[in-house]
Amino acid sequence: MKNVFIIFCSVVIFVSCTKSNDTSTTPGTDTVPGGTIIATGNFTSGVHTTSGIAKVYNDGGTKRLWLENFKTDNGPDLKVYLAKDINASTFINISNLRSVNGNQNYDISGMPDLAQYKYVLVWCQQFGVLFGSALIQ
Amino acid sequence: MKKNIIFLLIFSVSIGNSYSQQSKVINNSQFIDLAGTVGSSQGTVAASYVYNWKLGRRKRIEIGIGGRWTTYFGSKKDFLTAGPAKYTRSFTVPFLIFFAGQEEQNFDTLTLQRPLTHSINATINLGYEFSPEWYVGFNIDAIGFTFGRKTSGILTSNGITRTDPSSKPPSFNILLTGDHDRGTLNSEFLLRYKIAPRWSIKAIYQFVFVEYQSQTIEQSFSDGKTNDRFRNKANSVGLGVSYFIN
Repeated sequence: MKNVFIIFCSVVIFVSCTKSNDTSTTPGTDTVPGGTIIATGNFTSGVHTTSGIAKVYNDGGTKRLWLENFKTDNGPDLKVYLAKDINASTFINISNLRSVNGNQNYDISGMPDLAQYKYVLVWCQQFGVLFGSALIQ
Repeated sequence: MKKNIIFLLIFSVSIGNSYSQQSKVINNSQFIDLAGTVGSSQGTVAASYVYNWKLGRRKRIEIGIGGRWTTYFGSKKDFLTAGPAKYTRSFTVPFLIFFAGQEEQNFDTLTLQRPLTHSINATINLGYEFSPEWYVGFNIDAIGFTFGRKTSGILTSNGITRTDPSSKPPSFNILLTGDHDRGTLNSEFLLRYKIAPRWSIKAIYQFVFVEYQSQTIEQSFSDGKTNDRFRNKANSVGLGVSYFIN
């Protein structure tokens, strides 16, 4: 009976454990998007050290976010948000962060008003932590 | 002579005792139960104490009460608008509400990153022993309280996403049927098999309501009323063991 109990507990513990998904550390090597720059800003650190430049390009009506010489700490479940403030109280989820460093290019779906969504955030969604932010204008 | 009288007295008492033990009918069933379930990115562990009365001529029907601890854990789970029922169901008559249609246009979603709740509830139990080994039953939480971890949530409403930094479970649970329910309530359909005089194993199909409340943002209905209660209805299967006290 003791063995049955041990097997039962082991199955429950094994199944309930999930692997944490950290972001890739391979530097991003995307190319600069076409079009004109409509907003730009430098990253400042949040809870984790973050640096680089965020630029939004308008290429024939399609908006793209360009992270240049970007660098941040690694962490689980990192996202790129466009947000109204640095607390992500209202935000648009652009994408999972593909790499913690390098040059990266992200499509911005929809037509967000950058006068309202004026912050680019690198945000740990799982724990609700700001890694870094850039005020774009 | 005196010795013989004492011997006869002891003998008769012991015979009487053994006869009364043989004819004694067990009118209740008491057991401790441990169960675990696994669903999609979520699971539960539950421990309970059950006291059932045996009913019927052959004492095969069981009805009883108990207490259950349920721990629920999940990762990135969607919690939908939990009420009031008049916004989520086409009609709200208690019990009949199970058959009511859903008013999905009033549903918003609170996606919780790391929900974790611990609930202690009084339970109602029903069962039928259809052979000495096999037993089928149902149990449901009726009233109790919950505590748990605050977690970050994302409220999606009309395509707009907002962050609630510290959603938390409400502390009071009560079974009022359907979307009238409050809090975190567990229920199980179970099939149990006796493997030893005091031990059984069981397979369960579990339906658990888990509720969280947003703290800094609320859902707004078209009539101006607001809602901060969101519920995950989790269906899972699992296994358990029972230890019989009597």
